Amino acid sequence: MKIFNFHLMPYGAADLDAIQKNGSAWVTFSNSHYDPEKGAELYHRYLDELEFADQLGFDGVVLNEHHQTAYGLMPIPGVLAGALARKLKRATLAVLGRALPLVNNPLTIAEEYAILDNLMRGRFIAGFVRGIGAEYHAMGINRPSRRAASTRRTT
Amino acid sequence: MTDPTTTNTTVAGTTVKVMRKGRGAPLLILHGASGAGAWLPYMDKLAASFDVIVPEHPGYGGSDMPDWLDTMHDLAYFYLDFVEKLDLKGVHLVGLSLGGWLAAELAVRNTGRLASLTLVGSAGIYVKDVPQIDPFLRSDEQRIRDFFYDQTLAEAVIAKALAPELEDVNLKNRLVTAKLVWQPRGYDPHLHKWLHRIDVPTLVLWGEADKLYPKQYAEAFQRLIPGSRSVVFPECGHMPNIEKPDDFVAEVARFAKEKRAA
Repeated sequence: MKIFNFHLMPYGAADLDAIQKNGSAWVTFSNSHYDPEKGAELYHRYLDELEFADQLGFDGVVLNEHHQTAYGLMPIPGVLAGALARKLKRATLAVLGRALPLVNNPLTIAEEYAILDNLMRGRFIAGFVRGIGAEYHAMGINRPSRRAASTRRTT
Repeated sequence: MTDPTTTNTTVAGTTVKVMRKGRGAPLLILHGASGAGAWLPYMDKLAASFDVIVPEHPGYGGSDMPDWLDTMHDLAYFYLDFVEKLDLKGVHLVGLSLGGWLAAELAVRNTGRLASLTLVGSAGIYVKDVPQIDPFLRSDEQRIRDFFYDQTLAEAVIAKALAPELEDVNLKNRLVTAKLVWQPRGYDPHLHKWLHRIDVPTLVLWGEADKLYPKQYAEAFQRLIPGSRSVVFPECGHMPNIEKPDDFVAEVARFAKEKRAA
């Protein structure tokens, strides 16, 4: 058994009453509720936590992808993976994952993952997800037709 | 109100459910995103003066879900085949909401078999700076409420439309609608360029309180289709055919008669 530290990087400074009033923390929750100074603090804190997980002996650390939501601040997990790649001494780095249906050209993700795999000297897990409904709203992607496209791309 | 004849009609390998009743010039109704549903009072009233034909689009309800169905353009070509197969001539084409978009797509391609076009709360084009409700961000119940000005009517429709036995059909309709209209949301960015090609008399019918496609859309369609006329019903939402059936039927019948006389 291996034990990984999976971070979701929520926007911890979110105004819970505003979320309640809006009815959702996703897609329709205005970015006017986001304070970039607090956001910067959170990004650094969360990356510190993942580096600490490496020092503590976790087998790996995990990033994920969500869009336009206070639930998670990682729309492009590869950026954070790049920041971590030079710091992780032992742990494997996993990105779970990139949502193929949301991009026009999947080769961009192949390139991103190839670089991460090199930087990590092979201690890298390449994850792919379909994305939940909210991502298709956030990115303006036709879900029924792109799901089929995604199946073609991964096979 | 007596039942229509319901048949399964096969056109170029795709079978669709068709309700038909009445005598007179053919009047083809293209339904909106909720499917053809049941035979309704406004259809029956029209059947007094027209041969009313209500097919269920490929992908919806009791019709086939064909492999070829990707866009509204595919449906437009299907219905050009459909009127040919049934050998309909002098058709009064009535399109409701998504069906209005479809009717417009058909008419910009070929009006050879059409006598007139009526667009009702039609999707298909985009008008800037008009706040619209996004039906994909609403609950099933709220979405139906958004359709109507009269909320008592909305409640009656909710009770019927969301009945458990209709769950599978509703899901099927919702999936195919998402496929057709998700992005761009509810319009074709190229359609407006070709609406000038519509060379049959065109009537634009709208509810003044339409929240999905507010009345600025009626003005835009009226402006873009040469010689068209628009009528806006007061105290009426997205579905004048349901909410103001008598006024709706009167306008459609009057328009068809006028055009026959002219």
